[in-house]
Amino acid sequence: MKNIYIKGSHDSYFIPTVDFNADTGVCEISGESYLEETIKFYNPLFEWLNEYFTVLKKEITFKIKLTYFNTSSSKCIVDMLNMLKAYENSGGKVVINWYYDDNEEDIEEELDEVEDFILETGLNINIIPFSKANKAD
Amino acid sequence: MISIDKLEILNELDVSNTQLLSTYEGMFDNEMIGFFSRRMVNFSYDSPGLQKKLIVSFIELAQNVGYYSADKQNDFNGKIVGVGALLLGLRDSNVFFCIANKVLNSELNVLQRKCELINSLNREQLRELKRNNRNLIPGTNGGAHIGLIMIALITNKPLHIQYFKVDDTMSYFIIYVELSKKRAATDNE
Amino acid sequence: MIDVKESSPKDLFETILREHINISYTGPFDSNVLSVLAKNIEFSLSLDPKLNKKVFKIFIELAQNIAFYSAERAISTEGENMGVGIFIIKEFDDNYIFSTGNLATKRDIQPVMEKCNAINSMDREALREYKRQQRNLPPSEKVALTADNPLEYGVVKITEEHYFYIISVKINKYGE
Repeated sequence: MKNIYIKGSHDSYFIPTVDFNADTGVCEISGESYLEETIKFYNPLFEWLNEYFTVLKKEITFKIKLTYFNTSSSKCIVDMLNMLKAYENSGGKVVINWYYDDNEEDIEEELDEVEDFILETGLNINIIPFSKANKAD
Repeated sequence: MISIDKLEILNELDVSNTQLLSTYEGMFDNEMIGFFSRRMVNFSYDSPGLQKKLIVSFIELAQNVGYYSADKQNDFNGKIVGVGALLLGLRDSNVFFCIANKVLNSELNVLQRKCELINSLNREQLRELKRNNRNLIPGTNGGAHIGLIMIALITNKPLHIQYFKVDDTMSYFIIYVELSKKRAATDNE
Repeated sequence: MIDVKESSPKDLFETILREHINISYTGPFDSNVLSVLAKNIEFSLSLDPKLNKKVFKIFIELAQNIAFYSAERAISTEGENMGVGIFIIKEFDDNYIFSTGNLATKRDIQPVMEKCNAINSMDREALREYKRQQRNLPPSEKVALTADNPLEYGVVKITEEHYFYIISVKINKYGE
């Protein structure tokens, strides 16, 4: 199964860096997400996950390091998380880490949003400050 | 009829302590959004978190204009972009902006109900509304139906809104946002 | 159109909303602003392609007047010190009105006012001769403000040193 790598950029739109690795089972999405066509960008990621869950059926570690995402992106993030939940419900092993910069102040709303993702999806998301993240993270 | 003839939304702005930085009327396309976001980035904030709240609010509301304004233009790629108006300024240590776009009078009631609902909820209830709405089928342009809810959550205040009549078919929907560049005074001050 | 002396943010915003203005901007005039406004001009005004060149030349000249001559300065997003002013464009059935406003010192405004007066006082022949002369000048010395209709300008004294200078150019949609 092919990997996905998208190099992020911060131009007039903000494209996140996406690194989905079928061999290691580690999928990472980082940077900022504010896109011209949000659903068009995330569709290949949904398809990849679908293939991973139905064909490879391995453990997946999903790492989210997004510092900004607009509301359209948040919808797609929830959709990905719901896919992970469905995989977990069918017996798949799922680890989800959400990283945030604990040096930043005034980020209560951001952390609320992650809590809301947890409530919306019923997933157990590990909320990890960068300062406590392992080197490998 | 809810739309009114006097622009009252800015009444609280005392001329002596406000500084007008910019106004704009035209397409709310990506270039315009980028231009004004960059301007807002350059103010001095106590923390990047405060800067982010302002930019996030602005991008969300500006995108709303681009998608939902009743006044539309084509741009380069044949894409259709909404037209609206923006006012940006400083008031003491706060930044404020006002965004207006036309809406059909026939759609005013739905919009007003939505805003009244948002303004009637406390924070926990707002978050629940956001969670529920996000589960709905995406709107056109992938909209998540939660932009206005996010503004209420980010500003931690009711939405400050006015409807301003243009003619028998249209009114302006105007939203005012004011955010501080400074952290709130703490107990030990 | 706008009482600039009395304008508070509130009044200005209300005017913009009430007056059915097509395109407007107030603030520092850097190249990014020009790009945003140019795009609006291209797509929001139902421009006959024949008018494109004239409209854009006038637009650039008016915008550059503000950028260079405005006595009110601000730092642009690029960190440059640029002139601050107002640019308003309104479309009518038969024409467009391009209006600008900016603060200026008496000394800076003088040559611009003289030029406008000279253009306005030319009769048809003199104007054609003036345009012919203009065509022979290198591009940097050409003046776009030879619009078909008289330039209207207004000057409002703010202080002894500073005036608020308003210029309006009418561009006909059809024929010279």
